[in-house]
Amino acid sequence: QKMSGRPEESRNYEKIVLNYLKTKGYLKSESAFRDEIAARAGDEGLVAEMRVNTSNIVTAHNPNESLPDVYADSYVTFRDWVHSSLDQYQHELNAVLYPTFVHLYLELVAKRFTEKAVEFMERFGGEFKSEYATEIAELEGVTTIDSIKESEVAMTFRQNRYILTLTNFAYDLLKDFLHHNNLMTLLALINKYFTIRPSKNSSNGKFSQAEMTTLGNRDVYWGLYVEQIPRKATYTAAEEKAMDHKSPNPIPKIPEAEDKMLRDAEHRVPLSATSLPSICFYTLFHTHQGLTCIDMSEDASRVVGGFDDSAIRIFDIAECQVNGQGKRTRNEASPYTSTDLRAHSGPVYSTAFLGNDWFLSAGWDRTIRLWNVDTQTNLVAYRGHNYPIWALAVSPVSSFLSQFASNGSAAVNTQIGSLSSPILGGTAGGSQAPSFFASASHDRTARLWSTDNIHPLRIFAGHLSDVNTVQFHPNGNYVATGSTDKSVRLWEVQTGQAVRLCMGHVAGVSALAFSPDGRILASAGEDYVINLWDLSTSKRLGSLLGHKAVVNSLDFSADGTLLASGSSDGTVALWDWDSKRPQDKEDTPDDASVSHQLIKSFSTKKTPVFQVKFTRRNLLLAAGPFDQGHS
Amino acid sequence: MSGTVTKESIRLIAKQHQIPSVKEEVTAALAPDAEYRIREIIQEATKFMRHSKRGILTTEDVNHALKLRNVEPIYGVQSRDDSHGDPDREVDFNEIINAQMPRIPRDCTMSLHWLAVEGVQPNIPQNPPSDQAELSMKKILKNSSGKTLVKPLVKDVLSKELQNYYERFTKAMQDREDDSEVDKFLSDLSTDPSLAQLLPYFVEFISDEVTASLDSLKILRRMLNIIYVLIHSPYLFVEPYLHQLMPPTLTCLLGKSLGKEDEESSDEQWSLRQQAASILQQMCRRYGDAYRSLIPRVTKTLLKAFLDPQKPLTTHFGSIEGICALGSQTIELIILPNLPSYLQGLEEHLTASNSSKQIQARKCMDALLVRLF
Repeated sequence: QKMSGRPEESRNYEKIVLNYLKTKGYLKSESAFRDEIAARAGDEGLVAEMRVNTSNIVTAHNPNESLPDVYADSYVTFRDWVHSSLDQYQHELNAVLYPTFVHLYLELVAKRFTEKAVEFMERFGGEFKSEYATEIAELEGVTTIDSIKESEVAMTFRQNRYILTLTNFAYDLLKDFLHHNNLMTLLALINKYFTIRPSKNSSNGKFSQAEMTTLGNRDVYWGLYVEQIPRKATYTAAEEKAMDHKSPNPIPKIPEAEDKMLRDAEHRVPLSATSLPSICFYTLFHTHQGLTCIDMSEDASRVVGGFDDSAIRIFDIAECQVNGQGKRTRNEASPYTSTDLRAHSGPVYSTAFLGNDWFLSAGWDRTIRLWNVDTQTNLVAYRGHNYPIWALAVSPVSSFLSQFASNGSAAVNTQIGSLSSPILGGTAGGSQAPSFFASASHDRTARLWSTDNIHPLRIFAGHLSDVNTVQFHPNGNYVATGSTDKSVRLWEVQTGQAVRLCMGHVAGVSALAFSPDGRILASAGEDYVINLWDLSTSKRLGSLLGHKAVVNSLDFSADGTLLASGSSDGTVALWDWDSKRPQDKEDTPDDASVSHQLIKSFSTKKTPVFQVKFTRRNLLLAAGPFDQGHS
Repeated sequence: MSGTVTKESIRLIAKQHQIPSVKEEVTAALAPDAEYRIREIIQEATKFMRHSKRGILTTEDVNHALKLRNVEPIYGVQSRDDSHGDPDREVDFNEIINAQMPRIPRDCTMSLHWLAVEGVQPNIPQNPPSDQAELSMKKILKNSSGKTLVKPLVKDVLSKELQNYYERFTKAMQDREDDSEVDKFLSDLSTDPSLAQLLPYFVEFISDEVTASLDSLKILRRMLNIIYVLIHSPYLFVEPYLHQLMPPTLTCLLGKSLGKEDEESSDEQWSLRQQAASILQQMCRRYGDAYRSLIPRVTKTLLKAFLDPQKPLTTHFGSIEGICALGSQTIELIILPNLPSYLQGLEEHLTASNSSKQIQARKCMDALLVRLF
C-alpha cells in the first residue's frame, strides 16, 4: 500500500476513482462511493484510510472477478472476524452480521445473479436458521427481482434503514476492521442500509430475542424416555429355584445400589425454611492459593482437589483413621493427609466423582482423565477438545439403570471391563456399564462423553463465548451449559440440538443446578446474583441477591425445598427459593442488596467456598481452601 | 479508538527501544492495534483467573493466555526478584550455592468441622466468633495507643437476664441474715440448664467468698451446699472447674480456724468439716477415674496436714475426716502406720491446760475412734 502524506493527493485520487467508475458505468458503486465520501467528509481517520492504491480499487471492481465472489469473500472475512472478536462485543457484532447477510443476498438477487444468490444463501444461511427461521424461509423463496417486490420481508429490508445500537468501542472496531481490510462493498452497504447509533452502554438483553422464541418452541420432556424405564428383572434358573414360590408375588431382588438409594431416601432429613440442614465443612490448608476445584464423593468420605500446578490430591477419611493394627488411633486434632497424583501437564480446573471409587479430572492440557481411587492410577485419557477444559459434570443416570436398559445386549465396556477385578466390584455379568459425563471448554463447546469411548459422542455448539459450567438434568436427557456470553442454554443429549436459551445475566455464568424434579434451573454468575429459570417457558422466575462475591457452586436439597450456594466471599447461604413475599411486607420495597428468600448465611473464617453438595440424606457438604488473602 | 493506548505511548515505547523518530501514521496505526491485542490477552488471562477461582490476576494467568494464542510467554517475571529478566545481570555461582536453602512449604492437609448443626452455627474455634465479640475486640484495638501491644481478650457476652440473675444470686449468698432466698437459688442451680453459661462465674464466686468469709460458718456452709449442688446437677458440666472447686473445699476442711471464736460456732465447725469431707468424698468418687491424679493429690495434701505437728489440731481433725472419707484403703495406708506416733503427740494435748485445745484434741480422738472401730 502506498501511503501518501499530503491531503491534496488524496482528494485528487478520489476524483480519479470517481471518474473511472463513471466512465466504466459502475453507477451504483459510484453513488455508494460518493455517499461514503460525503458521510465521512469531516472524519480524520477515514481520510487517512482513503489513501489506497488506485490499482487496488481497480482489482476490487475488476469485471473478471465477479461481484458475487466479492460479496462472498467479504462476507466470509467479516463473519470470521466477528466470531473471533472480544467476548464483550460478541452480542453486538453478531447482531450486525445477520442484516449484512440479508442485504448482500438481496443485492445479489437484485443484480440478477440468481444462481449465485442461491449459492450464497445455501452457504451462509444455515447458521441463521435457528434464530430467524421464518425470515430465512421466506427469503429463500425470493430469487428474482420481481419476487423481491412481493416479499414483505425483503421489501422491509430494502426500503428501511436497519437501526443498530452499538457501544462506542464496538463501533470503532467495526469501522477500523472494514477500512483495514478494504471491504468497500460492505462499507458501502452499511452506509446505505444501516443506521448505527453509538452509545455508551451496552444493551445485552435485547439481542437473541428471536433465537429465544425459536428455541422456546421446541419440546422439552422432563420425564424419562420409555426405553429408560427399567424393565422387570429376569432371573436365572438357580435364582428362580431359590425364590419362594408359595406366595403369589415373589419379592423381587433389589440390586444393591438401588437398595442403598431407597434407604437413603428413608433416612433423609426433611428440610424446610424452618428445619435447616447441618453443614459439614471440609477445609484444605496450605494450598498456597493453588487449589482450583474440589469435589466430594457421594458417601462424603473422599475429597479430591485439583491444583494450579497440575497436582491432584485425594483425601480419604476412612483410610486415615485406621492405622497398622486396624484400630482407630488418629488423634482428633491432627489433620487428614493426602496422596499426590500427577498426570496432567497444566492446571487442573475441574474434578468430579463417578460414584465413590472413580473420578474424572480435566484442565489446561485439553484431556479428561479417569482415575481409580483404590489403585490411585490414571486409567483413561479422553481427547477431543482443542482448548482448555473449564468444567465437568457426571450424568445422574448411573450405571445400574443403564444395565437394565441394555439388558441382554451388554454395553460391554472393553477398556474398563478388561480391567474388571474385585477392585472394580464388577457386576454378575462381569462388565461395567458405561457412565456418561460432559465437559465445558474454552472452545465454546460442551461435549458429551461415555466412559467407554475416548472420543466424544456429542458436541453442543452454539455459545458465543467459552462455556464455563455444565450440568446434567436429573433425567439424564438434557444438559445445561452456562457461558461467558451471559446465556444459559439447554441441550438435548440424543440429538445435540439446543432446546432452550435463557438470557438475563449481566455477567458470565459460573454455576448451575437443576432442581430434583427437573423443572427449575438455578444459575449464578460473576454478577453475584442467582437466577431461577422455568425450563418450560425459559422465563426467569426470580433473582436471589445477597452474595458479595462470585458464586462458585449451587445445589438443591434432595427434596428440592432449599437451595444452597457457596461463594468466594466465604459464606454458605441457604435460600427458600420458592417462598412468596410475606403479606405485610408487600408494600415496602425490596431491600436492594438481599433477597427475602435468603434464610441464613453461614460465614467461615476467611475460607472461600468452592463447592456445596447435598448428600441424598440432606446433609450439606461444603469445601474450600483456607488461605489468607485468597479473595 | 477509545484511546487508552495513545500515539504518544507508542512514540515513547519506540524511544525506549532506540528506534528513531516514528512517523505519525505509524503511531496512529499501531496504537489501536496494540490496544486491541492487549485487551484480548487480558480477556483470556481473566478467564484463567476466574477458573482458578481467584480475584487476583497473576503473571501465570497472563503467560497461560499468551501460550494459548501461540505467543511466547514472558520469562523472568515469576519470582519477587524482578531483576531476573535483566540479561546483563551478573550472578556469582558461589553465592547461590552457599546461600541458605529456602523454607520448604508445608504440605496440604484437610480438616473437618461443623459449620452448622441443624441450622445453628456452633461456637467452636473453627467458626468465626459471634458478631458482638468481634466488635468489642475491634474497640479494644482502636483504643490502644500505637506503642503498647494490646492483646485482645476473648470477651464473653452474657445476656442482661443472666447478669441480673448472677447479681441477685451473689447478693443472696452473701447476706448473713436472710436465709430464705438461698434454698430457691440452690434448687434453681440443680434444675435449670440455662445457668450453665454462668458456671465459671459461680465457681469464681465460691472461691472468692470462701477466702473472704472464713469467719462466717453460715456462709461457708452455703458455699459447700452450692458445691454439692453443682457436682450433682445433671445439666452442669463441672469437670473443667474441679481444680477451682477443690481449694475452697479443702479450705473448709482443713482451715485453721473456721468461724468466730465462740462456743456455738466451735461445735458447728466440726459438722462443717464433716460436710466438707463428705463433699470431697463425692468429688473423688465421681471424677477420680477420669482424672487419675486427683485422688493422689488430695491424699497427699491431707497426709501432709495430718503428719505435721506444727499444724493446729483443727486441721488435724479435718485431715482425719478427709482421709477416712476417702475409704478404708486410705485409712489403712496412711493412718494406721502413723497412728502410734500421732497418738503420742495427741496425749500431750489431751492433758494440756488449754481447754479449747483439749476439746480439739478430744475431737480428734473421737474421730479416730469412730472411724477405726
